[in-house]
Amino acid sequence: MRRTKMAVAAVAATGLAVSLAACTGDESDLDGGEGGGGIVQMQVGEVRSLIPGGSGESEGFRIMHNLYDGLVYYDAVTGDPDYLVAEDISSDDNQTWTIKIKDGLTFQNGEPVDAEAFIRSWNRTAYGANALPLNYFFSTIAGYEDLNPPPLPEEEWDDPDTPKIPESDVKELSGLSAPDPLTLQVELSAPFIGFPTMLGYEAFYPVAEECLADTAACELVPIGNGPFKFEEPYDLEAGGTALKWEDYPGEQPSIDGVRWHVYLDGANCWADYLTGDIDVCRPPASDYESAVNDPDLAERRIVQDGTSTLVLAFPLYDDTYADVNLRRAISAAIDREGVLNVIGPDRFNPLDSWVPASINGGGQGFCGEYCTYDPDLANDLLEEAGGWPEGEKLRIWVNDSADNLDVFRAIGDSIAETLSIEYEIVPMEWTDFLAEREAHNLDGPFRSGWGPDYNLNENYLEPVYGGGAATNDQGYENADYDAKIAEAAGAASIEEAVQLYAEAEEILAGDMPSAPIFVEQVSYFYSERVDNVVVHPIYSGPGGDAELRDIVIK
Amino acid sequence: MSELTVPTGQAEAAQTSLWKDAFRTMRRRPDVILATLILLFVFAMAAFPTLFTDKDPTRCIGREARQRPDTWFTGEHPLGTDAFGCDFAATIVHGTRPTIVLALTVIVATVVAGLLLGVLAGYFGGWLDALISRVLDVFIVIPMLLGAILLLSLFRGRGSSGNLIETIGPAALALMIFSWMEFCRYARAATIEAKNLDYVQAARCLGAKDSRIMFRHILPSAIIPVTAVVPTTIGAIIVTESALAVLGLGVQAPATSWGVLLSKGTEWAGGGYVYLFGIPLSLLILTVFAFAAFGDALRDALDPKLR
Repeated sequence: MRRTKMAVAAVAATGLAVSLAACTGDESDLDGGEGGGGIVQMQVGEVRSLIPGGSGESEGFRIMHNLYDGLVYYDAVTGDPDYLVAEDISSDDNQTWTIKIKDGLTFQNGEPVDAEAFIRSWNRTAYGANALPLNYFFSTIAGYEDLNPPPLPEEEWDDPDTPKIPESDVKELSGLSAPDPLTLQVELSAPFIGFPTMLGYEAFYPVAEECLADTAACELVPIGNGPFKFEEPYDLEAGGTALKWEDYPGEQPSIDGVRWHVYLDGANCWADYLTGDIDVCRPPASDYESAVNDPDLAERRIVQDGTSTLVLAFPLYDDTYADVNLRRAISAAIDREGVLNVIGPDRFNPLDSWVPASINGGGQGFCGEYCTYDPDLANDLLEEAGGWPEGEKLRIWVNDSADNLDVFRAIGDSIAETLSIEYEIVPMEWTDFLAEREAHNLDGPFRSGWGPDYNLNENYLEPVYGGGAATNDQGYENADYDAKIAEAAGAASIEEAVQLYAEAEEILAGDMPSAPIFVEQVSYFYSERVDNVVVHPIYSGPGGDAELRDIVIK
Repeated sequence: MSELTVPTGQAEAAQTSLWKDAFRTMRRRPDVILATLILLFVFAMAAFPTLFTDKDPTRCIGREARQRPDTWFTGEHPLGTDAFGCDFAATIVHGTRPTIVLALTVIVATVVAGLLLGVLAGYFGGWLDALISRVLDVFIVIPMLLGAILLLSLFRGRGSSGNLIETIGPAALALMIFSWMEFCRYARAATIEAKNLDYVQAARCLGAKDSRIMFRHILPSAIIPVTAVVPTTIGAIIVTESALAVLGLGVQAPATSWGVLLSKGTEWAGGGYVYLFGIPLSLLILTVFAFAAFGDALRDALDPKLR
């Protein structure tokens, strides 16, 4: 039955039989029919922003990296940064970096992509009063402090949950300069060997002048410099279609465009995948077994080691979680294999380190016995920590997208069973959840997923646990850790830096500000009509994604 | 007031014999006996869940997830385990109470409201009747499911694992608002019929107040047609609650009701775990059948025209 249905949808989508499209009665089939057959149908969640620096989460980034070209682009196999907009990136001392930009590149509105375009974008994100989520990426650049004075006293905040950074006179990073239009000079406040590796991330994309002149319009119809371009405004709840940008100077994608379909509130794409309306999708736990056992689908399945991690982070600012042994107890109480049995094996693998093995410097296993299910150890640790507060419930805060609630229910069940405590899940919407956890408003462990921005173990450490107790979501701070991170940043070679970052991870493991649970295993299915489906270890978003620059429609 | 005791006493005597008669007719019917047994079983599960299972439905072990009920009614997990490794028998048994309590709350509230409004409208007539009847028309025009969906959308996303009232409150409220009309209509019709009968006139001549006439003389006869539809309506309420739960409204997970179990079961039935869907469904069908059979028999027994 499935095969037939999908064949009908595929035929309709390629526009060969308009009458069949009418039979299937789904508007997205008609989309495909009208578009000439080259539109890939992808799924996406709730997007926070489509202007570089404003998203900092997987859903905005999975769209944005197709709209914008950064200085470098990560190789889909090795994860190494290859030059894209940059012609050359070099430094003598790892502190002053000179970036040469390719000549003749333009934005989709015709503005030149030059050093000024990058400086414009970076200054905007680095300016504290703009309150952009990727602000912290620029803390390594000289002059950052001038743009980010200490926050105002709490009673002057517009929103009681977000610290308000006052306007400052300085609006430009002193470390950025453009000796000539195609040369960007970056002065870091301290040497950082990993700097070029970071440059393929959203925070470092360029922004057009027209975009900053009207950011509201630019959120709807972003002005990128990448291979895809929105003609119609993007709708947060309905999604949108980005078409191939005809004047793209780089390698043109083989497809004509992509339509993103939005799934919110725990909805997932699987039913639409089965009817041929979504091209790449991951089955939910309930359909996992039948999907894997279906010989038709099995041929079109991608299984590979993923890079996204799922972590249960602790609010160290809450007294209940101040004791490291309590945090260890909770971690050791989680039966990771058992949880996998509930949510579908192959979707994740148990994780015992903060940096997964698929990332440069990862897979060190620093969490060790505390990340292995051991009820006796867990109870001993809990006792050592003085036991669980009488009558309190363990409140686990989770954003409600996809089947997070199921995953965390299974985790909660396991903790409750092992430690004999009660728990409850507090579901929240994605953007609210991000804001609440950034504002330190949670009174229990919370979901913390991390997908890589670039291929370096530093990316799993510093952006998540760095910046001091006031900045990071956990409220974590340890002088040894910060010192080690600083030492690693100043290393002479990337290998040495990786090694030092691993040592910082070991310090982190001693403090256990969060409990590593899973690393994602990519287990996606793609439709019959697409081919050359590459799941990028760094760029791909959760729940089903593929490299749109490479994907082919048969 | 001693003169009034005479007619009242007679009415009571007649009533007693009517109910007794009905009881005698019903207990001879095999379908009623079967239905009663099923209902007793269901009510017992709701009232004393621990008689049926010694497992805690909130104790779920991931490693034991989705064990099929191969041992049927015996062994460690008599009905297997659900998607999270919770004992499925315990989940069903403990999910019965919200379902039944919700159905009973709704029925009691709607019968009381329906009777009251119906008797008032029928007895006083005039503008009060016009008002109540028009409101009733409005509510009859809105289908119960649609109305409940609209109303419950307001409560959406407020999942509760707390106490019973919080769990069933929104769904009960929505169902109450959209299911009192039938009782009201029956009561109104019966009141209009009864208020001109001789014994009512007699009571009035003897100086009885309106309230006394309504509640001591008319209500006992108006209650009979209403009683006959009560069991069938309870069945309908249980089905509607399930429908709402399947739509993601009504009782919200993590609390359980049969509807919630059905809703979760549908996800898994396609994946090869039919029992997660089949067992709650069978229980639901059996219960609704029992209420329907009971209601049918009750109507036959109470309706003098059929005797």
